[in-house]
Amino acid sequence: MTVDLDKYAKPGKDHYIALGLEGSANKLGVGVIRHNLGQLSSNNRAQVLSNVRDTYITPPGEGFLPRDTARHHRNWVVRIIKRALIDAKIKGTDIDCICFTQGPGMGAPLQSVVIAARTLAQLWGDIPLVGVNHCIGHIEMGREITGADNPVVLYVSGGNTQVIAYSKQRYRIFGETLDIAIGNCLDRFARTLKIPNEPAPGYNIEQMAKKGKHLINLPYTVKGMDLSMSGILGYIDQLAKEMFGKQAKKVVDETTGEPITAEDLCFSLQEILFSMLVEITERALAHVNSNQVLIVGGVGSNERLQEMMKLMIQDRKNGQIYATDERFCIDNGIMIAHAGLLSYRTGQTNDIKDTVCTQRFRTDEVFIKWRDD
Amino acid sequence: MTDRLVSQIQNHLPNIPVQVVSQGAEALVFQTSVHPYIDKPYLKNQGKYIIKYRPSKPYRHPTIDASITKNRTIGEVKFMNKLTKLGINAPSVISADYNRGIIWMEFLGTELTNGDISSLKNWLWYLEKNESKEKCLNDQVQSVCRKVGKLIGKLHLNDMIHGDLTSSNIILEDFEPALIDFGLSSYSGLSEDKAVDLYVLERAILSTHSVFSDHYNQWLLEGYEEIHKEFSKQGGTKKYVETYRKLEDVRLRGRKRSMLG
Amino acid sequence: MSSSTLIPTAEYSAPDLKETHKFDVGNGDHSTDGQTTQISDIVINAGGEDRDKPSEAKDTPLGHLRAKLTTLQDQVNVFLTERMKQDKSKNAQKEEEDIERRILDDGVDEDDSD
Repeated sequence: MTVDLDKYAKPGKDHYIALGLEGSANKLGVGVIRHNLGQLSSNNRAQVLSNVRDTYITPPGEGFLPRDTARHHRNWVVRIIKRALIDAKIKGTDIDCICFTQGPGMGAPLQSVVIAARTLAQLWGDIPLVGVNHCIGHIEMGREITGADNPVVLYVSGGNTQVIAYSKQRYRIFGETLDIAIGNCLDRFARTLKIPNEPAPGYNIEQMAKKGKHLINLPYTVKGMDLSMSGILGYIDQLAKEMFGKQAKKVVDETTGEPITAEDLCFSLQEILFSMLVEITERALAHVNSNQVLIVGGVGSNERLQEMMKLMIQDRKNGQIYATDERFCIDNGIMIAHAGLLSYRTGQTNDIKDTVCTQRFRTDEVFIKWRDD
Repeated sequence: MTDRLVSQIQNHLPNIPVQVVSQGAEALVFQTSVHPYIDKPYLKNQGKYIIKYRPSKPYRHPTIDASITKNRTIGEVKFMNKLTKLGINAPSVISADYNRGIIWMEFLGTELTNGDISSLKNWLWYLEKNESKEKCLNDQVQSVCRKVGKLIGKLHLNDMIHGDLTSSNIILEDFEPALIDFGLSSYSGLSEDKAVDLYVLERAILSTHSVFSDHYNQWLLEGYEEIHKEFSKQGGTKKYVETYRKLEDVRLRGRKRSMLG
Repeated sequence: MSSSTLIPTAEYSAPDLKETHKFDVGNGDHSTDGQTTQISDIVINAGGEDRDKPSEAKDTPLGHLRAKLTTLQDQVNVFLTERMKQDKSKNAQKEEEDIERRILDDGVDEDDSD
C-alpha cells in the first residue's frame, strides 16, 4: 500500500504547483516546483520550475547577525519571489500551496520570510500555507534529485551536523554533533584567518585546503555515532592566532622541516573533520544494515568530503553514494516547496495562527505521512 | 568491495581459515576455527574464535589512518584485558597485532532462530518482528535490559567508558549480556563522560528500537541505578546521582542543538 | 482602492499600561528608508557596504503603504526599545535576589549511604 497523494489536487488539474520560501540562515531562497499526479518515480519526477537564491554576505572576519540577515531577507524577498514566478512562467493564482521554513534556524530571518508567506497567501486569495522543517526539506529534495530510495543521510550545514536514517514514518537521528556544527566550525575558522565570506567561507577554505600538503596533529573526537568539534576548533584557532597574530610564531612540519602555512591549517582541519564525518556515517550504515549514503546541506558540496565518502562506500558491499550540486545542497527555496508539497498532498496545512516559526525544530519531530515503507 | 578486504586479512594470516561474520564501520569481524597457540584453551567456546581486523581506511589521510588504527587496537586490547581482570563480561583477548590492526579473541554469543548472531539489537529486532507486544515487553526482556544497565554501571564504577554503546555492541549468551567493541573506549571518572556514554546508548535505542524504546531505556537505567546502589559503600549512590543529573543536562543540550538551519 | 484608504495602524497593550498605546503615522514625508531598520554598525565598521537597501517606494497605493509601514515600524521599534530599557532596570534588582536564592537553595543532594 502506498499513500494516496492525489486527493488534494484542484478539480480538473493534472498537477500540483507549490511555492517555497526559505530564509532560516543567510540564504534567501525561493523556488517553484511542480508534481504531476501519481506517485513520484523515475518516470514521474518532480519538476523544478524555478530556483532563485540570494545570499547575505558579510565582510571578512564577520559572521552574519540575525538582525542584518533578517533585513536582507525583508528587503529582497519581494524581488526574489517575482523573479521566481517569472522564471517559472506562472501566476500567484496557479499555486496550490505556499510553503515556508518553520525552523530550525535563526529567529529573526525566519520571521521575516514567514511574513512574506502569510501576506502572499492572503493577497492571492486564501492559498493554503504549509510549514516545513528545514532538515526534512534537504532530505526530501536530496532523495528526489538523486533517486536515492532509502539512504542513510549525512546532513552537514552551517547549523547542523546529523546522521539520519528513516524508520517508521520518521527521519531518526542516529548521530550528531555534541557541540558546534561543521559549517559553523569552518566558518569560524575562516573568520580567524580573515578569509573572505564571498562566495562562501567554507568554499574558500576548501580552495585553500587544496593547496595544503602538511598535516598538523589535531585531536580526533568521535563518540559512538556522535562527534565533537569545539575542541578541535579551539586548538587550531589558538594555533592560527599565534602564527598570524603579533607573536608571528613559526611552526614547521615534523618530518620535512618545511614551514606550516594557512593552507596547511585548512587542509588539516578538513582532513580531520571529514574523517570523523565519514566515520560516523559508516557507523550508522553498519548499524542499520544499509549501503546507500546521501549527502545534503551546504558542506555537502565540498569535493573532498564527497571524495572521502566515495572511498568509504567503495569498501562496502553494493555501496552507493548520492550527492547533489550546489543548487540543491546549499539552502534553497525549491526543497521547501518540494517537501511542503509532499506534506500538502497528504492533507497537512497550517492555519495562519499555526505558522509561528521555531528556532528549535528537530528532524525527528516531523511525522512523515507521505511515506509508509 | 569487501573482497579486497578479505584478501588483505588472508595475506596477513596465511593458512588461517576465516569466514566473514560482519562488516562493522571500522572493522571486519571474522570467525575462525584456529587458536594461534593452544589446542585446548581455557575458554567457554572451544574451536571457535573471533578475529577482528581494522583495515586501513583509504578515505583517511595515511598519517591519521595509521595512528587511529594503532591507537584503537592497542586501546581495545588493554581495555579488554582490564575487563577480564575485573570480571566484567567481555571477550578475552588471545593475541594481537597492533600495526596491522588485528585482534584474536574469544567467541561469544549464539545463533538466534533466524540465524543472526545474538546481539541485543538482533534479539530485540527478532522479537519486534515475530512476537506480540506482550512478549516484546515480558519479564525476560526487562531482565536482560536491567542486566545490561548493571553491566554498564559496573564499567562506569571502574571509571571506564565504552564510547560506542549501541544495542549491536551488546552480545547475549544465554541471556547474559557481554560488551564488545572497545575501539572508542577511554578511562574517565567524570560524570560528564559517563553521561555522554549513556546518552549515546539512549539515542541508539530510540532510533533502532523506536516502538518500545521508552521501556527499554527505563529498564536500562534502572539496572544502572541498581548496581550503583549495591556499591553505595564506595560512593555509588552519589556517583549515580551526579551522572544522572549530567545525563539530563546532556539530553537538554541535545534538544537545544539544532538551533540553526 | 485610493491611496488614502491604505493607512497602517498599530496598537500596543500590556497589563502594566493603563491604556492602549496607539501608533499614528501622521502626514509627514514617508519613505522606505527607515531610521531603525538600517544595517548594523558592525558591518560598516568592518569595511562592509550596504547592498541590501530597500527599494524606493513606487508612486502607487501599495508603494505609499510600504513607505508608511516603514514609518510605523520605526515608531514601534522606538517604543518597544524604550520599554525594554525600563524593564531591564527594573529587573536588575530582581536578578540579584534571584542569584542569591539559587545559590542558597540549590544545595547538592546528600549521599545517604556514606
